[in-house]
Order: sequence, then C-alpha cells, then structure tokens
Amino acid sequence: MAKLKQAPAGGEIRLKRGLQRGTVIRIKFYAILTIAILFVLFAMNAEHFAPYDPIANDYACSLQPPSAEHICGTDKLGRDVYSRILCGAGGSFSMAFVMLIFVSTIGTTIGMLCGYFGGRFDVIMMRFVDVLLAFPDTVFAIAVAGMLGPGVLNAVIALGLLSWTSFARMARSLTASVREKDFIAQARFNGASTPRIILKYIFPNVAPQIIVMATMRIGGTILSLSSLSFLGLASQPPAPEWGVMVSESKAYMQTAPWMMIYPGLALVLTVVIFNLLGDSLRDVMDTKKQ
Amino acid sequence: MKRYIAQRLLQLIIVIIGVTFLTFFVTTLTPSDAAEMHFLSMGILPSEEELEATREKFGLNDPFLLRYFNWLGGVIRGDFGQSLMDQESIMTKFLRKLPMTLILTGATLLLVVIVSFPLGVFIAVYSNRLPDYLTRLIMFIGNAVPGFWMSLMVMYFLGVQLKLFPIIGRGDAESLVMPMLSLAIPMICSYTRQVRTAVLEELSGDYIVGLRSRGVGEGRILFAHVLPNAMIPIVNMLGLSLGGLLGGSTIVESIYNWKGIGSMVVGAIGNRDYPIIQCYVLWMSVIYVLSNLLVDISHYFMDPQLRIRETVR
Repeated sequence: MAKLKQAPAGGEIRLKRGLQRGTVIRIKFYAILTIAILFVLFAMNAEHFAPYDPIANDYACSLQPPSAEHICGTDKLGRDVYSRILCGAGGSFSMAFVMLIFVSTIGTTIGMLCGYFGGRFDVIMMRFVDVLLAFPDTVFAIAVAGMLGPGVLNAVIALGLLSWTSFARMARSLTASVREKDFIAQARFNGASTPRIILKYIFPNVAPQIIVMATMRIGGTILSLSSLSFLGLASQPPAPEWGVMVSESKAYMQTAPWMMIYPGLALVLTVVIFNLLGDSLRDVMDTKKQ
Repeated sequence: MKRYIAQRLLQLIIVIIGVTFLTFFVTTLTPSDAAEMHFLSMGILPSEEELEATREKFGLNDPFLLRYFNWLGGVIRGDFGQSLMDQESIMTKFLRKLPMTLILTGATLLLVVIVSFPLGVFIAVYSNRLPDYLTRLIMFIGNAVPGFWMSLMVMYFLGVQLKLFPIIGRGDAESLVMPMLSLAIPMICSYTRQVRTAVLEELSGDYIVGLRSRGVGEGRILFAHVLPNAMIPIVNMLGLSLGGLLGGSTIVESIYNWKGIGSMVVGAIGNRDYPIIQCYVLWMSVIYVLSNLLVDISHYFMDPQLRIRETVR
C-alpha cells in the first residue's frame, strides 16, 4: 500500500508554498471570472449572434440533422436549435440572478435581525426555517409551482420560498458571533444607534460570506429553474428556454436526438462555469481569512 | 437517550402540524378549482349548479380552518380522504405505490454506496495524482448535469441506441436499471467527493502521525482507524438522501413512467388533487424527521465520544 499522505514540510517551506498557493488561487479566480463575465455579456446579446430567428417556424426544414447550415440541427417546427440555444442563455442566467439577489437580500435581513436581537422572534423564525427545510427543494418547488399555476414568476416564487432559509441561517450565525465582538460594544458605548450598528458594523462582516454563498448557488438555481421549465411549470413554449427545449425533444428522442443533446450540453456548460466561479471565489475568501 | 427520542418525536408532531398547515394555506391561495378539474378529467363541461354541488360534496365551501381541522381529525383516525379524481381511498392508493418507490430507493442507495465508497477512499489515498484529478473532473461535471437530462441521456444511450433495456417501464427488474442509474449517477458524483473529503480530513489528523510513529501499518491505519471515523459525515448525508429518495424522485419517476409516490404526486399536482398532495406532504415530513432521528441515533453508536459523555453525565 502506498504511503497515505505526506506530513506537511517544515514551517518555512509551508509559508512559501502558502503564498504561492494564494497567488495561484487568485489567478484562477480572475480567469474564471473573466470567462463568466464574457459568458454573461454574450448571453445578454445573443440575438445578434444567432444565425436564425429562434421562434420563427420553417416547416420546409423540419427535423434536420446537424449540418453546415444548422450546426445543431432543427426541431419539429424547423427552428434552428443552435439559435434557440444561444437565445435561451440570457433568460436562464438572468432569472437565476434576479432570484438570488432577491432571496439573499430577504434571507440576510431576516437572519441579521434574528441574530442581533435573539429572543422569541429568533426562536420562532428558526423553527419555521426548520419546517421549510423538511422538504427536498425540487419537490417543494414543483408542488408550489403546480398549485400557483405555470409561469416564470410563479416558478421563481416557488424556488424562492425555500432558498432564502439557508441565507437566513448563515447571516444569523455570523451576526450572532460578530455581535459579541469588542468593536460592537465600543460602537454602542459611543452612542451608535441600533440600525447604524447593524448596517455599518455587522453587515460588512456578513456580506462577504453571503456573496460567496449566492455565487455558489447560481449554477444550482439555473438547474432548478430549468427542471421546472422541463415539467412545464416555468417558461412556456415557444420560448427558447433550455428546459422547455429538452422537454419538447422527448417525443423525438429516436428520430431527432440532437434536439435533446445540445440544449442539455449548453445547460451543463453554463452550470459548470458558474460552479467553478463559486468554488474559486470561496477558495479566494478562504485564503484571505488565513 | 430515551428522553432524547421522546423529544424528537414531539418535534415530529410540531413539524407535521406546521408543514401541513402551510400547504393547506397555499392550496387556498390557488386560482384553480378542484371541482372543475374533477369534471374536466372525465371530459364533462360542468354547469354552475353541478360545480356548486361538487364543491359542497368535497367540502370546498367550508372555511379554511374548519377544513384543516376536519382533515387533521381524519388523519388521526387513519383516514386520509379520497382522491378527487378517481374517488379511490388515498391510503389504498398510497400503499399500492409505496413498494415501487421503496424498491427504487433501495436499489439506488445500494449502487451509490457500492460505487462511491471504494472510489472515494481510493482517490483520497492517491490524492493529487492522475486518478484523483480525473475522477474529480468527471464528478465536477456530473454535479452540473440536470436530473431530467441525465434521465433522458441514459434512456437514449441504453434504451434507444444499445436497446439494452425497455424504454417504457413495465415495473420489472429490467425496467429498474435505467431509473436507478439516472438517480444514482448524480448521487455517486457528490458522494465520491464527500467520501474523499472525509477520508482526507481524517488522514491529516494528529493521531495518524501517532499511529505511524508506533509502526502501525498503512492498511491497518486506513481500515481500522480512518474509515470508521470518516463514515460519520457520510452517514449524515445518506440519511438526507434517503429522505429525498423516499419522497419519490418526481422527475425520474415520471420520465420512466415508474408508478411510485413521485409520479403519483406529479399527477396529483397537475390535476389539483389536493387530498393526495396533503397526504404526500405529511409523508415527506414524517420521513424527514425520522431519517434525521435515525442519523442521530447512528452517530450515537458510531461515535464513542458521545457515549462516553453520556455515562460521565
């Protein structure tokens, strides 16, 4: 059996390696950030890059396999799959982004209030969070979206109802630990009002972790939203949304698999980019803390 | 320990009441009408009088709180009501679907454990070498694959291209393979990562240096010391996954037409069949609290520190 793991080398060498590692992590982060920003810019202006109209029907070239003209083939209505994938990018990303900003703001506010004031409000709120966490998020979102009826806004509400809880939990525990620090006592002693203490002294200590958490959630949120679209609960046809496209392709799995494969690959690629961004942002924050 | 279990069971009741009340409340907010759906599902366009009579029959006109307590009273007596669609007793329906979900859950968890544990330990022992990098890359991509697409790709490659398994589920062992794989692959991806992290964490502990300095062999360190400790966080995760799977993997079950709890609830949501949704929500909360309890009890047996603390007290 191989030696399991080498013990870390002496202190001096470790320090030197630590510095190098920090630099590498930072370079990696900026590289991925650049890719992500380029992706977003591209997604937001995708109509200009799409060779065909994503929702115009052209029955003459229905269900064509990938070729030089249609590099990802065409669907039942003769729409160019590649153009539809490009135009679907912006929607997927912006829905997830708007939802996360909204949800993290609400979660952070509730969490900071709970953590700062404690008491009965805190206990009730945290029990409520426990109750909400009883559900696997997709099932809960499907149930709520199903009851509210199909639609993008309803899908976002359905996902949002659960996802604020983890932000609230994190903001609460961070606030509770910062609250005990000396500089808060100092601020209070100097006559700072409670809203001022929360905004000026507590929030800056909570925000970085919340931003990391929100970034790490972008990929997962895009996945959840597209799952709801796949089930017909979020975006509706003929919208060029990736979940909708895969859902439409189900019936043509045997005759036109390209309709299913390419939108899914686009989804995987997008989620990989944002998951990488989240992970590397977390790594950067971790090295800063040390 | 007994007191602790009693406490948790009390918590179960609180969670159930909270969750069912919440879902009941959500159903009152919905615009669509169960009475109307009842007629439409039979292909009848109902008159206003018929609708009114059905609403009366289903008790849809009662005030919200009365309906909730009527329902709760029924549940205590073991009566979950009838499906609004086919008037079948929900208890019967539920018990008919449950075995299918249990089979799928059992098979999936078994596969996940069999694959991801050895793989996770292996790449932890050989961490930062080629097999580790390669596996982690695949796992990272696997985590980004949406469940519905994974199911369709498994179906396309194994069912359509290679014709190994039937595409339309028949409920037999052959039809189990594809839904099981679709559920297991994403789980294997996250579990292997977790096992790796847990094993590496243990390997960096001071007691490992101590064991080595005493001349204990690497194999013995791994199997007798590292693995038992590394299992604790993994069992935690398994408990949560068990809960999620027993809830019926809605998407996979409905794609493969697997007649379990998950596809039942997707159908019920589409038909606004509230009594079924209520029953499902109840089931979910019971599963959640019980699987958490199970995890905590298993910690008690796996982590000697907890036991010692109790005897000292």
